[in-house]
Amino acid sequence: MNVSSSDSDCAELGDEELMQRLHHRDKLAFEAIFDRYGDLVYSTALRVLRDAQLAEDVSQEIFVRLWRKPQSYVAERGRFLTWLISVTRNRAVDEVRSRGRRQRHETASPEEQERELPASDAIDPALNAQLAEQALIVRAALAELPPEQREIIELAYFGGLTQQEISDRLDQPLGTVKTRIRLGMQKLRAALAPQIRSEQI
Amino acid sequence: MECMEVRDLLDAYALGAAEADEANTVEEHVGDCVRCWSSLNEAQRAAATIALSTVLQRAPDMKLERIR
Repeated sequence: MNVSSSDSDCAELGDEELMQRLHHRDKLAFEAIFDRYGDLVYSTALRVLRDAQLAEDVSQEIFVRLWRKPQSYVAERGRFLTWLISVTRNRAVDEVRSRGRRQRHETASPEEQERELPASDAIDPALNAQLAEQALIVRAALAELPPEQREIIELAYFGGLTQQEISDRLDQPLGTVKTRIRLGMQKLRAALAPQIRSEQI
Repeated sequence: MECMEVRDLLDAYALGAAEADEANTVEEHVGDCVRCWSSLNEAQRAAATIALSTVLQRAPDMKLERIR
């Protein structure tokens, strides 16, 4: 069976279709996925791990696994991008935990936060158009959160801390941490509702 | 397990911030409850988008030659 693609073919295809082609060992489809999301996977791993070499190792492992076991993504369970990001974040957090490097995840200084969360109108040229639009919405939604909610959500997501660990770290009652997570995520979900409903995310 | 109780845990679970026993509670419940499964799915999608807030760095040229 001839299942090879041309470069221009692949650039036009949706993620889920590219993943279908990966089942047939289509290298161009793999390259298209890597071109599309390599930077995002690496940057997410880097944000969690704060170590360029570890972030590269984790990213490489994720893409190698994607090539070898494309069936680990099950289309019926949701969008490819959501899955890929979750796999990346979880793998990076596992790495942090297994290395006992949690102590390195101090709360970001205001300068760091500024760097990590650019003005909501900053368009990142490295992102493809659809990602760029979603990134703007997410950055704007995060920027709108009260700082104490945003800090906790970022400590959980990028820092890999549980609610109890966040409570200990910030010396805040567990109930307060739980409430702030719920309120922050509620607002985030509300801001993203149109994208979630139209299956863009 | 009441749905209301599980709903309270979904956001923390989606962020990866639930404690182990809470995570078990969520996983057991959504296996049987379509509505909570769907709410969890939504929370997980919202959580995954948080990664998009990260400023992108150019990925180094990884050693994917054996694949490519």
